Amino acid sequence: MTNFRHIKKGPRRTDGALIVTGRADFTGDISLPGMLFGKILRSPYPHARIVEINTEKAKKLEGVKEVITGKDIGYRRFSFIDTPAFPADQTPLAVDKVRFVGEGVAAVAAISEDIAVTALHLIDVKYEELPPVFDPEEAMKDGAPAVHETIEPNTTTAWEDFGIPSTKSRPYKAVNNISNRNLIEYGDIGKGFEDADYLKEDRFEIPSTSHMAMEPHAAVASYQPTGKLDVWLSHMGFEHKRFWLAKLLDMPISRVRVHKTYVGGAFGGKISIFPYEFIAAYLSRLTLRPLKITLTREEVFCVCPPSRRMIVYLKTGVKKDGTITAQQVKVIDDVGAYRGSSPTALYLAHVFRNPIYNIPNLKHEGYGVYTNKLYTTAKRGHGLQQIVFAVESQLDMICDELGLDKVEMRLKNFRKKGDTLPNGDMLRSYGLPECLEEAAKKIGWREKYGKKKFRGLGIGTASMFSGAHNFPFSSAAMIRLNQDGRMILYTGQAEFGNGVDTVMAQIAAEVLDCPLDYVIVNSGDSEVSPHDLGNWLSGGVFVSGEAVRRAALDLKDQMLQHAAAGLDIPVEDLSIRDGWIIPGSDESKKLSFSDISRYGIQMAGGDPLIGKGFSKCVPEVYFWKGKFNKTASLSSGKGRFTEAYGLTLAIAEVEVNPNTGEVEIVEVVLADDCGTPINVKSVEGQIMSQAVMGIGDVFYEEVKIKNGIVMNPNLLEYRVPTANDIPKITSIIVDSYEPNGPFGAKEVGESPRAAAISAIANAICNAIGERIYTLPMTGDRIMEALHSKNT
Amino acid sequence: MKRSVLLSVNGERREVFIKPNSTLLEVLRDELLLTGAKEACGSGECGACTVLVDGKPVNSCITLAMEAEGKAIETIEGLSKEGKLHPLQEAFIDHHAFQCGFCTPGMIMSAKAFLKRSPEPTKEEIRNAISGNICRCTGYENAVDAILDTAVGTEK
Amino acid sequence: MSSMPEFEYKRPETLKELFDLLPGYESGAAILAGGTDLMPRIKRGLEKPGLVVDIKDIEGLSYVEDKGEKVKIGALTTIFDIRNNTLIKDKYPALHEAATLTASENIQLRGSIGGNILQNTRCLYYNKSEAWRDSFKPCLKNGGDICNAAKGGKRCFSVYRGDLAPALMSLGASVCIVSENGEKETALEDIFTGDGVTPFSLSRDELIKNVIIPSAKMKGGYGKFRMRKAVDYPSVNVAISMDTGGKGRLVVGSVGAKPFMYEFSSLEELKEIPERAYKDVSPINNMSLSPYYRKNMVRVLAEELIRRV
Repeated sequence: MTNFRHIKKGPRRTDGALIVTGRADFTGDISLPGMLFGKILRSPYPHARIVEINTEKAKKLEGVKEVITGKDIGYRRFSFIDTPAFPADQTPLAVDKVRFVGEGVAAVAAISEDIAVTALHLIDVKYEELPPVFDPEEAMKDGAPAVHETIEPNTTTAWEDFGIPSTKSRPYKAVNNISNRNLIEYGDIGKGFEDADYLKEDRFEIPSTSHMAMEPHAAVASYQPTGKLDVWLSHMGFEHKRFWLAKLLDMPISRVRVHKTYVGGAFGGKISIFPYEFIAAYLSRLTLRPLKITLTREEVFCVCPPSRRMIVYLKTGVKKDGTITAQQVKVIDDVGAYRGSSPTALYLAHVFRNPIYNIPNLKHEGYGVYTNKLYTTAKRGHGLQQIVFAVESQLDMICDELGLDKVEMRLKNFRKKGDTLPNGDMLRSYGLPECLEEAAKKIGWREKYGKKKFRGLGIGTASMFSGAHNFPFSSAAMIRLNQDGRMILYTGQAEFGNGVDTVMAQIAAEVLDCPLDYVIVNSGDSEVSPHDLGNWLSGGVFVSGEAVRRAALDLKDQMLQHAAAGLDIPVEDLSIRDGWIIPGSDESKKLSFSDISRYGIQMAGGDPLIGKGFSKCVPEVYFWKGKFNKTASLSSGKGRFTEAYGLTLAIAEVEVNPNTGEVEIVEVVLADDCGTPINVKSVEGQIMSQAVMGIGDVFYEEVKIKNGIVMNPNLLEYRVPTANDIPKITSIIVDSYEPNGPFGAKEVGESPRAAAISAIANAICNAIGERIYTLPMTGDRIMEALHSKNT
Repeated sequence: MKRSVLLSVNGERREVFIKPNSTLLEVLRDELLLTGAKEACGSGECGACTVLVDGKPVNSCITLAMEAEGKAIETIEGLSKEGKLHPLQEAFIDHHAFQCGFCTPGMIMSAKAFLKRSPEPTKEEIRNAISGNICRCTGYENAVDAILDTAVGTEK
Repeated sequence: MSSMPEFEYKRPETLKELFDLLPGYESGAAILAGGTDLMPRIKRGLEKPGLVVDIKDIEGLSYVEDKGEKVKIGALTTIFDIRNNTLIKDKYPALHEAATLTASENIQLRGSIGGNILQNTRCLYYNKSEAWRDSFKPCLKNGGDICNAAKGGKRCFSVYRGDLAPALMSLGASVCIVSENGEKETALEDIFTGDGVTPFSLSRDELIKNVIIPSAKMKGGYGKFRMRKAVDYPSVNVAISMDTGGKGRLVVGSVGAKPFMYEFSSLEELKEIPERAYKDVSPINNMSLSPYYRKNMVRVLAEELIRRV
């Protein structure tokens, strides 16, 4: 298939006109008749027992409709991940004690936001301060303050609800504040190090960064007296939100409707259920009125989880020629007050980078550790940029010390197309070596490397799932033919800026060979859309897009059957071209899509034609009752998780001012193997977006926490790049064609960021001739490194 | 104490009953239901709330509604005329100059004011003009191209 | 949305009307021009005025006029207008460059020279919401008696981070302060108290009417160290202006509650200033970059600027 009609083109976003006119409704724009406003009172202490909460004065304030505390809600625990081994540990409001500054302790529903804020001042909370612990390595020591007592699971954990084969849930006792751990091993690490000519050991520290989605978090909930809950919230897939709202409110899933809203940026940060979302729903049910909670930007920074903070201990063994023989990784994930996505992240920090280098002997151990700080979550790459930063930094150091060419060394160690990874995942497409060759050529690596003082070149790599079998384990799509010959496509994908509505329309219109505007996309509404994985783990195009392709094929097949019957000719003689069904023998007898709809209704028993499709990421993985196959383990890393990996290679060139530590990026080149780019403009947009986000990661971004308090909770102190900070960025799409993806497509939404970060960081270190083991690489850190080199 | 204030919004006279401490953004969004301008930071640090007052861009989250009394307020909702999108709006769509779109209304309003005062800009001038409009998705370059394209188009 | 304290709003059209308004408010009046500094302060509960007086409609406060011996800039002149003024560009490169590098273009269009000069000092522990500040005891700048940034600190270490004032001080500017009792001209440096708690000596019923700069053409420049190339306040800023005889001033900003000013009358003297300034300043850990680094950058930035100028 080379002559595509819509694929590999860059059509305008189908929802563009809504966005540029300000008429795309984001959650904060939703307003319902009789709507109340909610606000949450938050703990000023990092660790304290709640002795008493007096809400009487607040309740008496005119305009206040309801005041609730953690005790009213009780121990309804939720988490990103809730398994028998690692049961959910967080409650919507703190019940007995607070574990981070900003944790909610009470909430108010009032007729205006001003009154709600006033009411918060009238709530009297008595705390008994407890000794906090902030440093994860301190927290792991004997005698450190315990962030959690024994965690009692809900009646069932989410995994039990999903039917994942596992043992019965049990209470979790966090010994030495360890919230979770994993151990992944293959090969023989001892022998691997023995075989090495050179060993290198380092410690890297990667801070939390904020997603800094432009849209501050908000939720609107409307519980109806019929026992149904409508919610509008910023989601990246409704299934997870719906599941948790239903579970915590003890309602049937089908009675919760998560509506589509436009999402003002997500980047992984809006994946999980937030306390304020539950509280909005809970207060709406108590008051039987719609209710809205909007967080301030400061609240977003202080209470919504940023990316995961990780300390990475890395030991690598290489042969003299640069062949990697073994690698040992120890990750300490400073999870903060709640475990959140840590069990997933510790696994992903291994598996995401697994397709990059062929490391025959590997040991990866991870520890999630509770501290009295803001909890953390997934962000664009989820563990990938942390591990890649460590690995790529160390590889550069090894190359420097052994005098190896950094391009050749990487080419030597890359995996190969057709390889099977240790967990069984296969690399049916693998354009990484080509990406490196092309990026090196574009930037002029061989001509430029080491030629100019204080100029540096650096390489970064990344790979990423194209979806996985996360809950609800598959995606489906429906496509309905209308009387006018246009089609409505129903998908559970969420449009959060990735252009997914347009991409899905392109896929359906390609299959049906019709103009793009024949397909109207209805997405992201839990009551209308079929089952969907959501935009998790970059599975939007690969899994849900494949479901859309199959739904369109199903409809096409049905249309051709009807046309064949209507024209009384064999199906094989028919084709669809340009929105018409054309008989091979006589073009004058061609039928419009509208004709087919009428034929179905009038002549085929009233069948108006609906196409259906579904897709599962790794079909060979299944579980049902007692039977299961190849179900992956987060703890041991065994078992399959994805069908295809997107890959990115970035090279950056920078110049450092040795007097100030200021860095100018000369150019960043990102070569991305995303398989077939469905929408070239969207793919380029994703690459550009992540390059710029990566610039922020390297230069400024860090959620600074001091004594448990977020010190930079605004846009002046937490800096993201402005229009004046954008250097020359070149993207190269290396179209490797993924045989299992729709039209050969795979992931592009997450891997470029990690590659960009490592490339720029390595370029800076190359320019100054000294290593910086953490991010961001601010002027003070660069000067400190230069200074230590000179003394 | 609330009072009645007459505002001119997108050429329409709108009477609102508001407190003096209401920001222009609150009044536009909550009273007039013009939700195109967004609140992202609430303290003038990001530009998502940019609207024009007498043709000049202001961060409406740190502008009082009463400051705009008697002045011409222009919001994203007033940009398309006679059922047609403004050239800037078309150019933003053409160039994929938005992703999530949350910052887009503010950025387009900044761009509109900018092209009025600087009809033949360089890319550098465009970047500078939108440097107070933070975008987290696009990396800005497509927006710069869209604005440049519009400027070239205006010359025709 | 952060809820703002309630206040009255007035928009006088003459200075007389303004001065009639000010005394009537016990809880104080705040003067509003561009609002880019004031409004976030009010929203964060750092300022709780009973009255906000919007002076933007007062006639005759926005101009750049060459008065022979002096150039006068009206207090309401926007930073953008200053940046684009050819007279300023030609005569006062330090001021032109400072205006160009202030915040972002939209803020330049809104912010006035008077407001920019009188912007309050800032601190990582201070410019936050009331809810955020609940984790701390009130600091010196906020009615308390401790410093949260420097444990045991007996004075306020908040930092003046204006762009224009150092440039204007380097030019030997003065300001015309007007009140009900009339006008007085004061050297710009004299309106700074050096105390972070109340950084300016102006009383609540005084305002800057205009800025006065000696008319002689000055060589000079402005250096701003900031993390991003827009929006950011300076981490360190330096302005130099000198006359044809090589006499002038170097001013360092963003390292204390007021800019540090150094006079010189020869190139040799000028060259000694960076080292002196480096020794004079003692920033603390109350903004984004380390104090040690910021201290070093004073010297580096001053030296770089001297080389350039």
